[in-house]
Amino acid sequence: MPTQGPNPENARINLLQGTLDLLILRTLVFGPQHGQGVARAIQRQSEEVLLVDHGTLYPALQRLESKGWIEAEWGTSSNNRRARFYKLTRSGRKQLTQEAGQWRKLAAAIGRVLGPEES
Amino acid sequence: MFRRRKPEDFQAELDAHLALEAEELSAEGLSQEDARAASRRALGNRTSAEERFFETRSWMFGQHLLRDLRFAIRVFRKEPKFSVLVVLGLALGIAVSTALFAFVDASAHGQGSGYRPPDEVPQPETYVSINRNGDFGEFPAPEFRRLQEHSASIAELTAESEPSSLVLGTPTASAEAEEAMARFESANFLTIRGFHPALGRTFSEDETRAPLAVLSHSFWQRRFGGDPSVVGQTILLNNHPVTIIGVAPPRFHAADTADLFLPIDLDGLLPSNPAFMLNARLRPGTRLPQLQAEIQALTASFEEANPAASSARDAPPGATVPKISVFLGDAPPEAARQKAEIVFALDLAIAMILLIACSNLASLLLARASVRRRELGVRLSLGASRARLVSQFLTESLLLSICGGLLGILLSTWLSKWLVGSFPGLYFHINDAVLLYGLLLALVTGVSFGLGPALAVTKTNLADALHSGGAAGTEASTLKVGSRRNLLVVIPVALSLMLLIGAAVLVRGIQTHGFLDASFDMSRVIGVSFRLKDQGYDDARAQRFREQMLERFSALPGVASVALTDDAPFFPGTCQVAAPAPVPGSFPICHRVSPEIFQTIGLRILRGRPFSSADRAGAAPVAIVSQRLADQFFAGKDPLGQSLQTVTGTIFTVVGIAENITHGAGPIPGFPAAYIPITQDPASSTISSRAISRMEIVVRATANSSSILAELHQAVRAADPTLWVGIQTVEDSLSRIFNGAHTTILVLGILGVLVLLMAAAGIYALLAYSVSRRTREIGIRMALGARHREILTLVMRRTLILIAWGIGCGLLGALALGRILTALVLKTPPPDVLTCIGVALALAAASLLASFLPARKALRVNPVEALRSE
Repeated sequence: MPTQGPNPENARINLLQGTLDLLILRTLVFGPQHGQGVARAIQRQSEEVLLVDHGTLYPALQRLESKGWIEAEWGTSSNNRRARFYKLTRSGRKQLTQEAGQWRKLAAAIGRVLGPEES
Repeated sequence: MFRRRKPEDFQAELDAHLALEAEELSAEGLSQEDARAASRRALGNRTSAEERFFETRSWMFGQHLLRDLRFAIRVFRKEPKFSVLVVLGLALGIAVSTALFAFVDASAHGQGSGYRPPDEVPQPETYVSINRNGDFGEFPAPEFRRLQEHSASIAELTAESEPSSLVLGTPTASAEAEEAMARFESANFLTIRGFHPALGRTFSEDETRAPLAVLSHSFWQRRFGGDPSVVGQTILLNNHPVTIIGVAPPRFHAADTADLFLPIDLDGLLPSNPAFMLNARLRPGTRLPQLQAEIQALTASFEEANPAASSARDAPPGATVPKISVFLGDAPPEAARQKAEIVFALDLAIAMILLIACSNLASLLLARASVRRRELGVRLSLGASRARLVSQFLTESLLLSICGGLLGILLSTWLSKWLVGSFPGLYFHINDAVLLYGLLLALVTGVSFGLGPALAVTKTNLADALHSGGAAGTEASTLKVGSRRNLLVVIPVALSLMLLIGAAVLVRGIQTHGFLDASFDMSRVIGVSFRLKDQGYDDARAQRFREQMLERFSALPGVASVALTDDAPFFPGTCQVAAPAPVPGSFPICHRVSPEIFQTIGLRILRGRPFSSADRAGAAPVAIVSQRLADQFFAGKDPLGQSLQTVTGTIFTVVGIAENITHGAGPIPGFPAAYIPITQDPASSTISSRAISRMEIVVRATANSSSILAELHQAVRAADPTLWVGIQTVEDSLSRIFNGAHTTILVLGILGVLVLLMAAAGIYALLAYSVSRRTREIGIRMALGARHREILTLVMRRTLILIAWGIGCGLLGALALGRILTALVLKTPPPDVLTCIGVALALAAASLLASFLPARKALRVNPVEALRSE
């Protein structure tokens, strides 16, 4: 058995969680949306590059809700189904600006380090 | 804001999601069936999602705690021996240190010692003690009044006598009288110290002659059961009716022997020459030297005006005017310093005991944690986070430590109750502060000594933990944590050796300073004393009563002989030797006795003759002296035929030499003693009729039994049921005097045994664990033909080396500590070689036994079973 580093699984989950939170918040800027809609929207907007794990989406929503960044309410979807709709709160909006800014800075910095794309 | 969400709601949301997703997928062209399957696949592990939803909830912490607790309890149930051992060990440590803390706490607040520190008194900067001729010199009553009237710097002055013994009876004369100790106090004795009566009132300034009494709180509890209706009741003190008007607060003189506080001028009860200790409140702006000079001048002028007063007190020869000393607070600085030293030494002991208890706990937890490495590996690999595992471990150690702590507090409550109950000099109890201390101790111990092993073990490499399988105790892993585990044996052994040597040195110091080695069997000699005069008997009636008692006692079946003496053996007696002049440093005792005294006490007449019935009033006065007195006073001469003069002027001829009442040669070389026939001192009735009225009957019992005490008591009660009578063996009356020493020795002894037990328990537990872990290895070795000796060596070798290290370190530590303590605080001799070696041997024996027991278990390992078990 190859020797493993200190719990690599954990590290991956952490990365995903942070990113997923940001993406959810970003998606909700356009108005209230239910979970499935959020997942679809992320997939669509990332041009199908980012695949949202539906199993992790809902706990993430729950976490954001408990932090007070989003609010939820049961409502009716466009095709007349009952669904839980999430809405960005004021503090969620602030959080989004902050995290988006950080993410952009990070991405830009990594981009600079990596240099121009090699072919 | 955030309303708690139900799991059903979350499930409904997931259901909605599946429906939405399936609809969308089928809209994209999949069949209904496929769309549903695909949406479920995309959702992944639904249970896991629901679980994670659970964990985001705020009450998750409680849930985890509950689960951890349940798991911990399961684990402990599986290994009851381990759990009991840990809890008991910890409880012992916490009990001892909590009880010690209670004692220290009480002494720091003045309950244990009878002193209160200055800060207990309101405005301590104005509260002073006034003394003369040393730290506790006292003042006669007239001087107290004079100071009260004439001093310019004193705002308020209070006087207090030493406790004196009175006979307490009830006015109905229905019950047997008792002894009560009373202090005579000026009216402001409570208020000047900032106290108020717990019940009733105290006497006022114009009631200083009134027959009133204030009870001490402890006496009120003990004698009257805390009954509030005692206020207003009348009691008899030395046959004088006295009305109880109040009860002092519990903190006032709490450890004092005084049962009652009486007005300062109460006639008829005051001792013949009362002396008082003075405390005062200064006027604002007065400085101590100023006060001292003023009182010095006042007392000097007082002594000039009343030459009789100076002869009444025990002035040292040559000192015409007593030296006045003044200091803040109640206790002279020296006493306060001594107390601080004792508290410091006790604190040190507490810290060391706790360290032993903690290292025991840590070693047990660590040993067990490494056994559970495999379980941890499995749990880690199944996705448990390290935080969860550490919290699980912490829960377990906290559970253990809290159980240990509660049990320890319970034990310490018993321990302190027992100590307080058995030793009247001690007074402390477990109060809230002490309780808090004990609980905090348990918590801190649990966290600090559970966290270490938890962190150490959860750092495991997953693969290693799983691979090494059950044989967690392979050489490699033992070596890895070896150094830390070694310390866990070395430290407790070393610490307990230091504690034990400290205790042994103290015990030896007390023994050589305070103990008598009587040359007769003290348990068979019984003193029976009365207070006939205090209880209204006149001399003639007292005389008749004593003769009657002598007769009745000698008729009892268990009595070998009876005699009359003016004082119990070892006590100074009522006559005084005037000539030949006493040797400096020697304090001869002189007893007036009846002729039967020697056979009654059990002293042989070495030379000459005993007293006979012919030695009565009118015959030539004769005396018998002890060997030691003869050696000291008539050195080089034949003592027989020499003469001895008492302070009353009668000259006695020495006719016999009696055996010394002590043997051995401690720092006090025993008492030189003279005995004169009770009938031959013509001045006996004029000296002190009160002293004569306290004449004691000495009884020698044929057997060492307690029933004789009851029989004697019965005989006295039959003659006069209201009499106070003191019946105790000489042994008991002496041990009362040496109570402090006995207490200290006993407490230190108990402490020593507990420490020894704790150290042994730690070693036992550690080795027992290592043996159980190596069962398989031992099995293999035995199967391959290893002999018992080799197995024993294998198991015990490392432990023995560690014990030797511990003892070495402990000896060094004890020597260093002894030097530091001797230099800094206690005036104890540095530990001597014999004590050190003795204690080290005792500890080594205990440790050996503790390590041998588990090692023996290793010998009983059945190779077949050991190999099959894996």
